[in-house]
Amino acid sequence: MGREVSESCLESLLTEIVSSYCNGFYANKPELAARRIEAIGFQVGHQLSERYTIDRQRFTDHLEAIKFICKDFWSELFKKQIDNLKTNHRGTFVLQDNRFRWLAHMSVDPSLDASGSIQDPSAMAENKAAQATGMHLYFPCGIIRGALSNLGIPCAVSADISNLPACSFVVRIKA
Amino acid sequence: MKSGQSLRDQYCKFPHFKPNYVEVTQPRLSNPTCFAFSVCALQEKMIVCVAVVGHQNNPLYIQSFTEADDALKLHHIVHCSLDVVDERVNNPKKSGPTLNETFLGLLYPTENYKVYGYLTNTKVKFIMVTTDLDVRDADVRNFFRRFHAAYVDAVSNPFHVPGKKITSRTFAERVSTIVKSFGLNSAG
Repeated sequence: MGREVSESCLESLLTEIVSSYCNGFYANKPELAARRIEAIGFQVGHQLSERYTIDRQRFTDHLEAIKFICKDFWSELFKKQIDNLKTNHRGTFVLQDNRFRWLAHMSVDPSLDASGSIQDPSAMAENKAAQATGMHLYFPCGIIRGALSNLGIPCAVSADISNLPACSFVVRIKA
Repeated sequence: MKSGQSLRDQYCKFPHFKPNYVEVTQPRLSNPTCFAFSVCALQEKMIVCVAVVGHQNNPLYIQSFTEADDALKLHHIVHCSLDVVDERVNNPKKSGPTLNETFLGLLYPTENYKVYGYLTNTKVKFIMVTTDLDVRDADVRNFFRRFHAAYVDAVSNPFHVPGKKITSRTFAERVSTIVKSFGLNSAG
């Protein structure tokens, strides 16, 4: 029997990590906070990739490794696969998840919405939402980067939020 | 271990006793005690050394399981096998489904040992040296699978620093259990 993880516990842990790094340790330096959170994710991804590739053959190329991340790795983490994978065949991959589990229960602070609505309603609200959720995406970015780098693919990963539960991760492989 | 010890004592007591099948290798071994040792190694079917080597060929864990003081020789064997692993991976002879298998099979045989290799997706190499000269492939595969699982658990320890040597005592104990059970399975 596989071990189970409480989803709500994990989600509150993630939220707590983000808030303690952003408002506690590195309140004045959001750049450093982001890097620290990404580093935690990196270690997690590094270890998980070792575990989840245990019964697999070695990957021959980058695409195969990315596919592994999209299918098996994502299924292990989020019980679903990545919904859409795009590539420019020059080392950039866009992994889109239409309902990213760690953002699914996230809502934007209504006070931020209200203040935004005075001037430019839609753009302002979007901006605030992006800022609030952006910090929560450093952890999954780190996981992807950790997993890929352990598989021998050094890369940079960033995240984009389109409309809330959906988000996309951009993987740029370093030549 | 115990049977090997008594066997060795026996041979030391009767140095003139020479079993037929070792006659072939005898000219190499002028020293009678050395001769007795090699017989003992042939008799005992066991894993004498295991190693985990990182993706930059940095040793992460190496452990020999012999009573004799031959750790250096075994480490040398492991070291030599790394070149064979590289060669296997860079110019694969096999094709088809076995092409990128993690289990690399027999890397090279020496007169007393057989060296097996395993390369994970994360480019970590596992090397195993055994004195069992007619070992079954399935046993070795099974051994590596369990060894890999033990390794994964060891590196998942949050206090383990990736790329550094594995110092976990739990890992050492687990590996030694796996090594011992390998001897039991193949002997039967």
